[in-house]
Amino acid sequence: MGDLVFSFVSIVYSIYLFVASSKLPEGIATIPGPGFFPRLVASTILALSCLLLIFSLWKFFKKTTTPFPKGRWTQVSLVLITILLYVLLWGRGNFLLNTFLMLFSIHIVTGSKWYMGLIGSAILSISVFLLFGNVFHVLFF
Amino acid sequence: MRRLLVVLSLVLATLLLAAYPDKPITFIIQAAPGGASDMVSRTITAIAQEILKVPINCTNITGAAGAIAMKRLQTSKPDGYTMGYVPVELSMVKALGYADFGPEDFDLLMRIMVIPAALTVRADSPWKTAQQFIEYVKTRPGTVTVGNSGPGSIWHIAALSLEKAAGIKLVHVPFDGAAPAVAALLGGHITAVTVSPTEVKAGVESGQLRILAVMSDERTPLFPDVPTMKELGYDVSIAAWGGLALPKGVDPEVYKTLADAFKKAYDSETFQKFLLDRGMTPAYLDGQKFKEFAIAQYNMFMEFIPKALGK
Amino acid sequence: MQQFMQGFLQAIDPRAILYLLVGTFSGLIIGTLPGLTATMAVAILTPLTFWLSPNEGLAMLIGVWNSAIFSGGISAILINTPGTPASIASTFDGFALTKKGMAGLALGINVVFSFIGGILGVVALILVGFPLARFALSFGPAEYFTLAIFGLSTMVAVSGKSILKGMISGFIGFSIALVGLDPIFGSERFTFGRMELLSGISFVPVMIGLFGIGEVLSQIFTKSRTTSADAQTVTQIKRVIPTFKEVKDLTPVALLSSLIGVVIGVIPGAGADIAGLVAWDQSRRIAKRPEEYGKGSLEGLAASTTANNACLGGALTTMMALGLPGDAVTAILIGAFIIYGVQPGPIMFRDHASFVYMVITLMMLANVAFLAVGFFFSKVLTKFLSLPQSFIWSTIIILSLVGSYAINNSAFDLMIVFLSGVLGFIFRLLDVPLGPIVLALILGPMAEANMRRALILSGGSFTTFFTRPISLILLILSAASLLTSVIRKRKS
Repeated sequence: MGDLVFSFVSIVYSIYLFVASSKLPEGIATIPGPGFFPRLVASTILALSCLLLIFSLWKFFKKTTTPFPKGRWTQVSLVLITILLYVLLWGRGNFLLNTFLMLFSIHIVTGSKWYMGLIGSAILSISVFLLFGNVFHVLFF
Repeated sequence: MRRLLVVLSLVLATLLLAAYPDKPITFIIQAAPGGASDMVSRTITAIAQEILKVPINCTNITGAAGAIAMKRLQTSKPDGYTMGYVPVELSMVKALGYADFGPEDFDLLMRIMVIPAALTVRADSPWKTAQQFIEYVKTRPGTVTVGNSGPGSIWHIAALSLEKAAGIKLVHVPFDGAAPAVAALLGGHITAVTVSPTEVKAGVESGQLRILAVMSDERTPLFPDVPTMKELGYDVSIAAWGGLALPKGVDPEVYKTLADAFKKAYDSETFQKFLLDRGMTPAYLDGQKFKEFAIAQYNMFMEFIPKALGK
Repeated sequence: MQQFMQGFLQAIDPRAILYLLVGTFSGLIIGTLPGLTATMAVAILTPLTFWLSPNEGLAMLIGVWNSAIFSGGISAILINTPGTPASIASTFDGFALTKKGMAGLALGINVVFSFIGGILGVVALILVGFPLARFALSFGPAEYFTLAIFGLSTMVAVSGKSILKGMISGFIGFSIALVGLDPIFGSERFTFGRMELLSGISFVPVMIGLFGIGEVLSQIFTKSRTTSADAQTVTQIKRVIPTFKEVKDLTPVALLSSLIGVVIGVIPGAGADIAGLVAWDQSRRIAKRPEEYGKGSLEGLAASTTANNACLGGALTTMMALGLPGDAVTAILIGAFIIYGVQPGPIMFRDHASFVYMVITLMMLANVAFLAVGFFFSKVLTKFLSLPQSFIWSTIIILSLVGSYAINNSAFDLMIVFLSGVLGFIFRLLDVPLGPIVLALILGPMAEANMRRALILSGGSFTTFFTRPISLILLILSAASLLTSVIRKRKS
């Protein structure tokens, strides 16, 4: 099942690559230009994923395809949203507070007790701030 | 009441100004650690922070020939707590189409140094002078390979300018930086390079390479015997340079404090020795003169690059 | 002889040793943190050396350099995230060993074989430094291209179960590497008009996202530290110090890997990351149990950890014998040498012989230094694994994010880490191997730029790749390596 999805997505991706690289110059005589490699890469992905599509369709119809893995989708999505928010809000608000809130949410989502999460996130965000901000002179906000 | 406020704010303002600088200054370096820009910046700030009595924290921001760092500098608050290093690319990035700013968008503090381009060949090659090399290229247009440090880099522009001034046709081979180009020259894979004398110093001293000419107006202190292209009758003057800049609109008092401190750091024995050791020509210009110089360079590149690179 | 004694004495000066230890300790921390690389570690400390005498300053820089490359392996083993790009290949077997509950032994192997590799690298510098450096110069664009192809032939070996999926994954990596200004013409490719993309997508954030964030997400998804073993075995540390017999068994692999590491290190522009990957694949040919590679093989781990540290001796050889940087760190070291009034290059061996001996002695001592503190440091870090899962996950996530941001202070890179993390998670879910992506990201640009460069030099003639001896040998080796890997896959 996974292979089917993967081959389909990479076919779409390779077509996109091909179209996007069509505007790039081809090169002079046998010396390849900027467009040569992108087109080569795109066509290779296309060829390989078509092969994969055929193989996985074969398996699909012979009913030997492995089912999609089961797991905790809610937790993963919540963690992903938390990280995304943190990344998007970078530069706004306060670094320490943002970091603390992100880490605390991850703790809660992944099943920590609230007081453990509180302590863990506080220690971690302060040490990251001190180490990166003061020792490595990273530009925080 | 109103007058009181005015007076108060004036007092407050003077207090604040008198206090400058009272917190660490952030210094943006537009190149990766280890290169010429990085070493110059880290050395001069290390000395200047002793004079200013506040720490100056260096931060490397790389990408797009330094355009990303310079954009960051340009859009920073002009409070004197953010400053940065500006290389020759300050005058080039707009012509290259990477960014939309030029020297006029900054408060330039001072120029520090210049590094000329140098035409270098292997020591076992038949050419002893730049004329001989150019005459040879004239007989075989489009076959002699010349390495540079990347498409659109200052050393690429140097080779293009030489082509134009001498009326010759070269094969340009861009490498990922100057060092790989020099390695390819040492290995005999290319015929010449147009990078800085600093990069070829080791090869020249060990007798493997020969500098034919430098492309600056004056000879370089690193190789005082090597003639300039202008002396030889070719009108080429291409050099990399570097200086310090602030975001536009910095308070004149703050500007003066910084200019004085960095001038002192520049004049220090440690820094002068550093520049000469690394093969850079010390070339101080104050803010105003630096600005005129950078704008002149900017106009030259805006004219030359689009034609030469077909951008 | 007198020169040697002078240099040697300068290196073992107590103050120099003190700075060496300071450097080693800083290197351990910076190398272990994902995102912060050895290059950054050396760059941060370089300005401090202006106030130190040559032996003290270089002791610190050399100490940082060696120990950061070593300690990058620690995070590769413990959390499947390479601490520095040099340790990418150490994740393949290192983390598999952690999943088997053998984290301690894996860390011990990392210490011992990083040391062996480091020492052998320096020995090579002493014995065959000049011939090796001359060999490096014979590498022109054609040879760099075929070297990249040779490295890319590893792709099948790192493809896991399905070669087909591995190859697609590799070419997706290649397509990511295409973003930015093209290396020969300077035309913009897939930049969407964004200035941040002109220099391409930075490698380290992608690597950290794929491995660090991707791994955490998939662990949260499956609700266990690992899929194959339960949490109990993982937290078992067991012993750290390997037995004499284990070390002896791994010696043949280590010797071959050192050789590969040194040779790749000598070639400018090819660094410890490539050395580790190539050694991991090639050492399998002489391994006692090649079928275990990638599933927690001690031999595989020894190969990658030996090669990346052996690479340093090679890079230093190029730098001292030719005055050219062998990698990003030696570029900074050249600057430090010049500050001390020594121009790296052939004449350095004549005019500053005692300085050369001092540097060589310091390299040796740096390896001894991390051997001495490495076991203890590794043992302390294994305690990290016994923390509750939420703590481990949140630590890896914040270090991955801030570490990647720290390289360039770029909020854009944060987005890259996040997106790569999502990609890494989805690929794990679909059972698509990540090794090929990373391989293509490192070697793809090298292959493209040098192929086009070589064709400019040859006037467009492809025969240049077959008529030059080294290039031809590398092509034959790539074909052989590819073929044997495919046959091995077919068998299993």
